[in-house]
Amino acid sequence: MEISKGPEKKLKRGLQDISPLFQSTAPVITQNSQNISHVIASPPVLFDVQFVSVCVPDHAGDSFLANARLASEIVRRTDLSTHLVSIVPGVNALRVKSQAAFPAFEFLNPRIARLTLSHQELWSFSREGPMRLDSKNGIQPFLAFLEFEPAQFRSLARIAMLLDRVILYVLPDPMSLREAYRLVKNLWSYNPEIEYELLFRTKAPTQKQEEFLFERFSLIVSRFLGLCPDWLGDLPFQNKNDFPLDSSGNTMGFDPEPLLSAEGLQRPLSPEKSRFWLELQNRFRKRSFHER
Amino acid sequence: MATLSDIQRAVSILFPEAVPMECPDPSLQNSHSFFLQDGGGGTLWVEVVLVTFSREQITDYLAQAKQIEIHYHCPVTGILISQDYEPGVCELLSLVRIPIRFFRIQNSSSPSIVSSQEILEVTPFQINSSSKKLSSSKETQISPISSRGVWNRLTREELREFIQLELDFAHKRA
Repeated sequence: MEISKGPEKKLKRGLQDISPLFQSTAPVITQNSQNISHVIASPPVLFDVQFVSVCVPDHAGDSFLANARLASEIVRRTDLSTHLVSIVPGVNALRVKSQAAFPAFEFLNPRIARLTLSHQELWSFSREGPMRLDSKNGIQPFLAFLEFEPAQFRSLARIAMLLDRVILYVLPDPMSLREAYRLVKNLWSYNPEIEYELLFRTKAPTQKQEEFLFERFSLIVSRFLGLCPDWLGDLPFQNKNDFPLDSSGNTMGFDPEPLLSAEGLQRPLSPEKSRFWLELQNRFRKRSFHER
Repeated sequence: MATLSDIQRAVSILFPEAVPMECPDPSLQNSHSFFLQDGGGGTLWVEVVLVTFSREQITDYLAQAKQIEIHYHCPVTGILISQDYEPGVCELLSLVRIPIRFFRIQNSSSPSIVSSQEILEVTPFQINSSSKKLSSSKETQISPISSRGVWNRLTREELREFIQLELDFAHKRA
């Protein structure tokens, strides 16, 4: 599946076309004074394979929670099962012994499977034997959240080559956006094809402030790096019950549609991504069978 | 401890040609700043901070500078006098459009009130090499992914954009 990334794509996602973000087809964005006005069916899933990472650039140590948070929101709103791949340092051959710090495979919920890999294992995936692409049976949407702490990596180059999208999970304030920009610039230097999404993890006092921050951030990123980030709205990190929910129990204000589309995904898959995807599929299939 | 009058006397020695000005707008007036007209027709805005000037204060400081420019209709030079500066503050402020000169309050042992408060002009380099390490518990627990103080990962133009964003966002919230 070829997706071209020409000027028309940039125009569509430029600031002048920001209105679709506020008229999202995600479940319920408006409500009357008394209750939710209507419920829309789950957004369609259009991509084939996608590697995403939710990064919290202004607060180290929250990578796992942030990725799990978003994965849970995605499975709640769609029919997808997602995969969470935690990449951690120092867990390698020792893992086979009983002194493993945490399970290498577990189900966070029936539709989120988590696999833990060491850095060494991750790198070895890209050097696995010849690719065995099986396109005859079609491709089921495969969504993997790559969870890692950038500060623990000596070089982000390898993991950057595997990423399709990075979600910047930040506070709605300029300092957080500046840290987000640093991360974007860093990753962009390794892989300029990564798509970026901005997602606020708390609500600003007004919607206008959030719009203002996204527009300015988008301007800066576009000006200096030539990128066009999308905006996913806001998704509370904690105390999610304090935030308005629609009748389906979904958090209002969060629009997952950009994540579920194939727009911006580079195709065909690079050799590294193909190998990584095949290896992950094998791992998840084997472990799922045993765990169940 | 230095009082505003001590600082005013010290500043008058530093800028002998500058004359005091009245504040054009009462909303800009406060107990720790005053205005002077320099010999070239510009305005010197002297702001005194008797504690360490922190990064959190930058936004308000820049917002006030902008308001002063609007009211005086002439270029403003900031004279910032502080007990100390948090690391990185002066580098950030040196990137903004308004020229700012940094002074540090030095206490001497002289019994004279006027000379007991010395005001020394400092550069960002001098501040960084002599200022104490900031080591609050909050910073050890929560630190951004990028290394602390690695400002050179962003260019001056990029930093300027983010400083302007902070300033504009502060206006929007006000």
